[in-house]
Amino acid sequence: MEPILLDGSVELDRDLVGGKAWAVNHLRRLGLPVPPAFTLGTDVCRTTLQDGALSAEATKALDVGVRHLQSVLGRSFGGAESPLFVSVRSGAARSMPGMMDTVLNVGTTATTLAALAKEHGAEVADDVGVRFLHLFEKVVGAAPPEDPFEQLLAAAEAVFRSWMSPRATAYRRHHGLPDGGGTAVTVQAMVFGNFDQCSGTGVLFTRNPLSGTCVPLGEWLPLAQGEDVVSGRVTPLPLDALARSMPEIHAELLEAAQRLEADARDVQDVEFTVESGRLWLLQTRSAKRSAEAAVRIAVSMQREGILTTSEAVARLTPGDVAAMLRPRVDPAAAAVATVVAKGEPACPGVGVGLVVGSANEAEDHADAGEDVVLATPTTDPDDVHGMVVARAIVTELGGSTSHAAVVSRELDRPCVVGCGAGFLADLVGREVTVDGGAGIVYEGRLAVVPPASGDDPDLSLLTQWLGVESPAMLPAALGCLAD
Amino acid sequence: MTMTDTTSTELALLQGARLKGRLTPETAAVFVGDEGQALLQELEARGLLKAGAAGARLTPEGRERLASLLGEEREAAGAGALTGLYAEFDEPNHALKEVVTAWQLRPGGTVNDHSDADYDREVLGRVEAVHAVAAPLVERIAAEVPRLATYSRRLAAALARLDADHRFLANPLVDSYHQVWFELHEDLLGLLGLDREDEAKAGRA
Repeated sequence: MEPILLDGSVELDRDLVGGKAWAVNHLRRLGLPVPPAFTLGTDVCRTTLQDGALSAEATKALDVGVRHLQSVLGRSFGGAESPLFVSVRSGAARSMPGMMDTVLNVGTTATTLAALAKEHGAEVADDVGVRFLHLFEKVVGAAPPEDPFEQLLAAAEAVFRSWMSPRATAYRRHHGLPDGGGTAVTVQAMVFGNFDQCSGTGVLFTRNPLSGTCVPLGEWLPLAQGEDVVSGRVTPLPLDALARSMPEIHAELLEAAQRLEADARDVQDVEFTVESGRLWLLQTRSAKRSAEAAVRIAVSMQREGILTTSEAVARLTPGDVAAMLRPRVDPAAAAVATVVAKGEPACPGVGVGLVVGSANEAEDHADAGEDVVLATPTTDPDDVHGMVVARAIVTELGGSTSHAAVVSRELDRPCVVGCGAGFLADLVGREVTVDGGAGIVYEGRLAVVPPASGDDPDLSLLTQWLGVESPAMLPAALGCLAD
Repeated sequence: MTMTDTTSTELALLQGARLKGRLTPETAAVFVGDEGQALLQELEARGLLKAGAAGARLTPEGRERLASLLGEEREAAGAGALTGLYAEFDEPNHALKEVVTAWQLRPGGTVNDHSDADYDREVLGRVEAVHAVAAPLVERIAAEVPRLATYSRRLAAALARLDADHRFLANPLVDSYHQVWFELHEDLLGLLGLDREDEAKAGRA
């Protein structure tokens, strides 16, 4: 058995190598820089689960694969000088997001950590050591062996086994997917954005995912690893900062982004890392976007000749257009209004009313015919009756997946969460306007206007395409197409 | 100290009144089964609940009685095992809230208008994956605090109705999966003497 090298030399069979490996190989085929990787196919998963352990052949293939990574990068696995670390990832033919396991930084030993510390500083070494230990023990269920190759075997076996985890099995049962498919295991060289001043990590959107304008937007975090961006622990810099510090890398990145967008024919959300002045792309996917951006991007891609008219229309949901047509705070009024609280948007829409601090007060005021905004530190189940009667809900704590956020969306009440501990006392008894989509609470009752005007050029073009008379008819027309 | 059957159903109903805000005979049955209506009337007669148009609500005396019964239950349970179980609760709690959010909001933050059947099916599949982890955990929790056994039944009932009626995922006005979970979370916080605000700061509420 040979490891399947993801070097882009041939097109691979997605069923055999899984989605993750297929995507890595595809990026290599586009000539883009991706950390080198190889895969053991889903067939190996099936035999491993059958035998209860990796076969001698699979072990050999891992050995050959790691030698390949070493020679491509000029690093040594377990070595005392420029050591190689690898990630061990799952990947089934059909994506099962978050259902299976991944182990990072495999190859972490006393020797390699000492080498890291010497070459890149104690902080980097500590960081790698802690992250490795935590994830390895969680996924493999045992302390890591000292030998790096033994670590790799244990990690690969555990990732294969995660195909049969209760989570993954329940997921497949619901989708009527067979248990026989199996996951591939992809072993990929780790790259580090925290090595030195010429290192960092970031994300790039090929177009603005909020406004839909055709301008790339990104975040850059010098001297950091990818997880630091995702966790939100640190505030990243705008991409311009990368253009100033490493203009060649910035240009290379924008060029790669363009190629990715052209290949996917959609806006891409690209994760990248720069390791000691060398650009690596880690992942690309179609970008999440606001409703307005979805509309503007689909229409401009048709104008640019990237999409046909029917393809552009197929990219839109009735909800996208509906959101553009929903009432919003008058921008002129908002520009001069005082912002009394800011938090995370939890449920879109605008609500205006008198702020009350408890569900019972909300009910009393609402019974008297008043519009109320319920503002509480967090919500308990017994606050639900107050949320029902409120025009909007504001909380001090919790994020956009908190219970309060979930319940507000279910009740379709504009809601802003996580405004910060202690803002509440000031607000009670005042009139406010809550913009749930923007996550902003304004002082006073602001004027509310429809968001997109009837002569919005993008919506006008859409009405022509769909043969309807006004933008207001677009959501229904799109709904008919979807059926 | 163990509770008699009578005081434990009384506790279940008073706590039900607190969690639901208003208790109708139907919601009373959710907590204590067939004897719901009779018990509701008895507690109203004792001045612990007060009848109203939308259902019965706790009186100040009812709140006091509830606090004292919860205190007894908390002592009987002992925090040791529960603390460990609550640590395990974190994972499915987090997962469930993410799944419900995905049900309500499409990637990018737009409201899910449920026009994409494939997307919806995928999300509902993730609910079952959460339940596969949650169900055995809730049973172990109920082994420590018998009153909480109703949550196993209520979660399973919500799940069973989900495909036919999507309100049973998160609508707070029916005994939906998220609403039952939210109430279980509140009960666990109470039993452990934890404060929801502190828990929210830690990202768990």
